[in-house]
Amino acid sequence: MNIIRFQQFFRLSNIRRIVQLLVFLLFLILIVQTVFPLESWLPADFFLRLDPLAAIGTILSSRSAGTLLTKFLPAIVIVVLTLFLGRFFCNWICPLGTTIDFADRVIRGKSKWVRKPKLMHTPPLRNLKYYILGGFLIAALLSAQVAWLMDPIPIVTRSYAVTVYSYFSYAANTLLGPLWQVPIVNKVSEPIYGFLRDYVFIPNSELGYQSITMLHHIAFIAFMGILALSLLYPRFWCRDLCPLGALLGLLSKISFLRWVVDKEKCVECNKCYHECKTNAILEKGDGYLVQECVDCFNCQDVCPVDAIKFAFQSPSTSLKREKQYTPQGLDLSKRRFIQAAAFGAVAVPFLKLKPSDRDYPPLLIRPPGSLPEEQFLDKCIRCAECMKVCPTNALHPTLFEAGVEGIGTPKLVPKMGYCDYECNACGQVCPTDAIKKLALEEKKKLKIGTAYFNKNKCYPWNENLNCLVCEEHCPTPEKSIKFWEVEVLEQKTNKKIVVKRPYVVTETCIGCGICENKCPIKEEPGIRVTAREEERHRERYSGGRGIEL
Amino acid sequence: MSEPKFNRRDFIKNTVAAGIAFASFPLLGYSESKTPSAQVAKKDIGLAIATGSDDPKKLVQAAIDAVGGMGQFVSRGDIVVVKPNIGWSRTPEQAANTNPYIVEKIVELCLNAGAKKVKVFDRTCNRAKTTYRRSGIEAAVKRVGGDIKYVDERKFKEVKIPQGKRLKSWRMYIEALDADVLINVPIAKHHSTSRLTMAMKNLMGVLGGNRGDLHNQLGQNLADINTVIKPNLTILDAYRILTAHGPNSGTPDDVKLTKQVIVGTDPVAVDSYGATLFGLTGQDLDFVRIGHEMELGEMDLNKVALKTIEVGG
Repeated sequence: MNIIRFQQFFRLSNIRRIVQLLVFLLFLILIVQTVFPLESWLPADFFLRLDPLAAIGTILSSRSAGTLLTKFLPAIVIVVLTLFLGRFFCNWICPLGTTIDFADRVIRGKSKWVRKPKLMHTPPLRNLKYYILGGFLIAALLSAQVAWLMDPIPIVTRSYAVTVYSYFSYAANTLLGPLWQVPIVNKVSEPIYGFLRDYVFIPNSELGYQSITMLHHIAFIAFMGILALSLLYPRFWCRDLCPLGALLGLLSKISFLRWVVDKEKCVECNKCYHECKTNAILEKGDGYLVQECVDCFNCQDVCPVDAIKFAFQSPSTSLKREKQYTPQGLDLSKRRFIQAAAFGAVAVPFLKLKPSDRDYPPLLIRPPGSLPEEQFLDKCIRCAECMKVCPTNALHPTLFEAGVEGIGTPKLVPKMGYCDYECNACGQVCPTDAIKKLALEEKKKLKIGTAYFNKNKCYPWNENLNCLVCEEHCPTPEKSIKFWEVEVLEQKTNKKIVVKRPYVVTETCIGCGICENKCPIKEEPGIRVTAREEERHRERYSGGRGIEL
Repeated sequence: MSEPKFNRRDFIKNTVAAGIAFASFPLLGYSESKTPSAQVAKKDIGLAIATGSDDPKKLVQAAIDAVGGMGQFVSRGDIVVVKPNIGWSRTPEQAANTNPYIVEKIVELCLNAGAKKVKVFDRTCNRAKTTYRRSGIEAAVKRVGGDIKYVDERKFKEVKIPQGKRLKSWRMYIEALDADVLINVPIAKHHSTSRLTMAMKNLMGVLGGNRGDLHNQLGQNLADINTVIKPNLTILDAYRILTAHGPNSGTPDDVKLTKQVIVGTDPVAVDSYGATLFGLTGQDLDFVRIGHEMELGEMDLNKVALKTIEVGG
């Protein structure tokens, strides 16, 4: 009896659930640990490195393979495993898949047999993902990075790392925070709040939560949209849209692990057909589509006669079997592929062409170590790891400053945060090397922009008030803000006073933005930072001060 | 017809009641803080200057011994706040923050004197987490069993400054105001606006709000603040001093190894002495001069009992 129970508990679908949950937990822990100083035992961008689509897309669009291949070694492992096991990644590992499974439960309720959406079985749409994959690869081949639009791993990473995280931190902060003066309740709330504050939120903001821009909300709506697709049928995204699922599906055509039905036993009850979340099983157990199966093993659970087995077979036999089992196979249309390719090709100028290539946006300050703009855009997959790790919450997504192509890429917003002099974390977590990994000493000298004084605002310049808060905070060894002591006549008192009027030493200013961030004038600071003379674009230097180009 | 489970009137009534109950929670738990002036327990101990050792801890021990031991200031069961300068994400060698060994020794001495709890904090300029770590102070305090926490932005309250000439009130940190004993542990270093930053300026670390706004007429503002926050003891870290490009930057050449620790109860006297380490006098510093005029302490070192202790090794 116990053995049967034991077997019952450790059936494949339950093992899958346990692994899936643990992997998802690991994903969340890694996100929480994506803080400076980086101390987690796994690289913070581990899940992104598991993603073969991001690897292929980035290698194609940036036309560089060398270092990327070593970084994406885990993705190669996933590819090899897929050749053995099929699309297991989608239901065992993918955090978006797990989130969608949760959403399916919430939306559809726990009961499996009632409230089944009517559109459960939709063969025609499922080919869409292969065409999306086709368009994706064509665009990448023509050097447009589109992983950020459709690749599930960057989508789920940024959704959790910056949107869900900031929503959660805001909610926890505003709900728990005010309870600190409430007797009795604070005995419970304060330890929780303290833990969250010290270990989860505080690294990024003295607000206690992550500050955001409008684009965060847009990203959140997009994420919710993906989950809401489950209103139509379960795993809509994975079934019909996901290009990574398509890629793994194509690989699994020759995989070893196969779904086998004992036709002698089968009573053609159609339970497996109805249970299958990706609609891979044909009616009456007449066969299955290997490229659609995500190895969830739920079909075994519902089979009343134990007719379903998963067995290892050589690909040649299984291909033969498949012909016999699944007459439809993978029935893609050439015409649609050409359409998809055309779509991918048209997307390239749409994304890449900017109103003016000479209109350098002054406020587009990239994180230190970013590649020159063109290459940067080819590589950045908008996973938002850099935004999450930034200890001052200074990196935020662009909207259109960097063109349509640049939506969601990171920029430094000095009013919200500054580039910490002693930190080089963004380059360490970037999975595609769009931001280079820099040694700290190298980063300290790297110029990402230049400050200038807005003398119509600055206290000492405009109002004869002493201030020098910018100078105080300037981190470069010999200070890149210096000052003149000027004697002026104060109008009110008619007395001579000495005012210390600051100026920027352009040569040594690194553009970290702490001066603008700390300026006591908050609305429109008296000192601003622009991308002027950023080191990655030395060709733009005027040379007016005799700098060697 | 079944009975209605909810009716609108009850719902509104209950909601409003619950809302009022929630909103009034903060009123219930609030206890009036002690008036800060209650902390003043001034004994005229002059200044004790320990010098000459490579070990900052020995300097602290010698200087404190010279004024009668920590037991003079800390009683059994006291809640002690030690307020070092933990402003900048810099290493101890850069002399931007108080030396971690000095903080460590002070915390240890307080605990040995019977303190119930020794809290250490500062409202940092760079991010708290990296600053606490890089300064070495977090680890140092933990080593001896002190209590080091990040400043909690919720726990500031508006404090009146009755004697203030420019400032009438400012937001201050409740934990610093409520302590039985407040020990100010600044480091001596260069600062462009105030020329030097030492004891009086270090108290800006318990202020909330937009501190940058204090920089105009900083000297007067610092004196005003020092009329309200009166540490029981001031221990100036002059083991390494930063002579230029302060309060946070500087090249290795700007850091000078002076190997001194100064202990006193009079912040004006401590700062006036500190100025001499940079070749200045108290007269050169606005805040010292104004502090002296406002009778916060003695600027003229000829009127202060100076006790110099040579520490070997």
